[in-house]
Amino acid sequence: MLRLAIAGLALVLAGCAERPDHLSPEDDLSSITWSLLGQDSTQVAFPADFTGQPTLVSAIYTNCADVCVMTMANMKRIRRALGPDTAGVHFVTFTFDPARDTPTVLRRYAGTWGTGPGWTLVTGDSTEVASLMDRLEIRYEISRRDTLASGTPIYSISHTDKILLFDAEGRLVESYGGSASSPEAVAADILTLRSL
Amino acid sequence: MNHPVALFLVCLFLAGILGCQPDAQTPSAEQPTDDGADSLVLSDPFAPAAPETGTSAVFVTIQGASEPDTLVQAEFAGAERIELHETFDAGNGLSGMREIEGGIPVAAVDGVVLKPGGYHIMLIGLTEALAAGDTLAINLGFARSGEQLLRVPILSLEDMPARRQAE
Repeated sequence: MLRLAIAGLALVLAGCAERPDHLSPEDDLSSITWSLLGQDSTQVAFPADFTGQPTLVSAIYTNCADVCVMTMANMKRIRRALGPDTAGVHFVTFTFDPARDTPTVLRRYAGTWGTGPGWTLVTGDSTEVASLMDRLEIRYEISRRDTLASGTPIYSISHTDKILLFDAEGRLVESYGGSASSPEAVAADILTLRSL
Repeated sequence: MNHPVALFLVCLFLAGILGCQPDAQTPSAEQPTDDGADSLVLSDPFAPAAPETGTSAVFVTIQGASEPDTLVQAEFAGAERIELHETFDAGNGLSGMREIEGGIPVAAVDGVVLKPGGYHIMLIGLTEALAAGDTLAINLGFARSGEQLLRVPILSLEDMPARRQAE
């Protein structure tokens, strides 16, 4: 909370702050486009559709009821820590399980989780998703397969647990622990980016 | 009859009633029982909301009895499959989930905490949605203590307890 307060104060006093070292661009994705699908089945071009303002990115699969749920809960805490004005920040959650996480499934989860406007859940062709995850250094691998009595196949996925922050130009600037990062610290970095 | 004697008799009467309760070993989230060091005490259960056909998990704090115990099974009518799971470090920066063969150990006295990032009861293939604000009933089977019915509040993302890096 202290970092958030400091960042907010800096925003007011400085008006236009300098970019701190830890928010320097690490990977510029702006020249590449990944063609994906949003939870409402519309085309999503990443990162092009999310430039112009900072974007907070997470990656999950909806059949993960532990770490991924905590990552989603953390994204919500970050949004709450930003205060009432979250219109200047994109929230994007990718699934790395596009075979099961269709737009319909993501839409159902978006409703249950109450993600609301300004937060896009994204799936797509498995090759395209894999390409993006590889670039974001988000790794995932199926760890166990089984079948329910109904015939529904199930499997678990071991995966990277992190949240990524992009600046308004579509450049990756920082990564955080996904399910366990400090919402106030991430919100402070977002506010700093918005002040640049 | 003076007051201390009356109080003593009332306590004896209440103790007799409680000892005869048929569900004395069936604690719920709202009213955990602790009838001595030989009983498990279950507290602070929760499960994240999830849509129908989706997946959720039950988390709960289990205070141990004087002897070690093991959570060996869980029964919940609202899911196709219930498994005892743990989240583990799969190496190379990966976080994984796996079923616990033989059940979840409950240490004597200290017990065990089923929490995000650790042990949990996985509910797979929900036959109906778990809505925030509702409660689900799950029957837990312990090797030593037998069965205990647990009533679990279903939480929205906003109400989920935070997981911190230190964990």
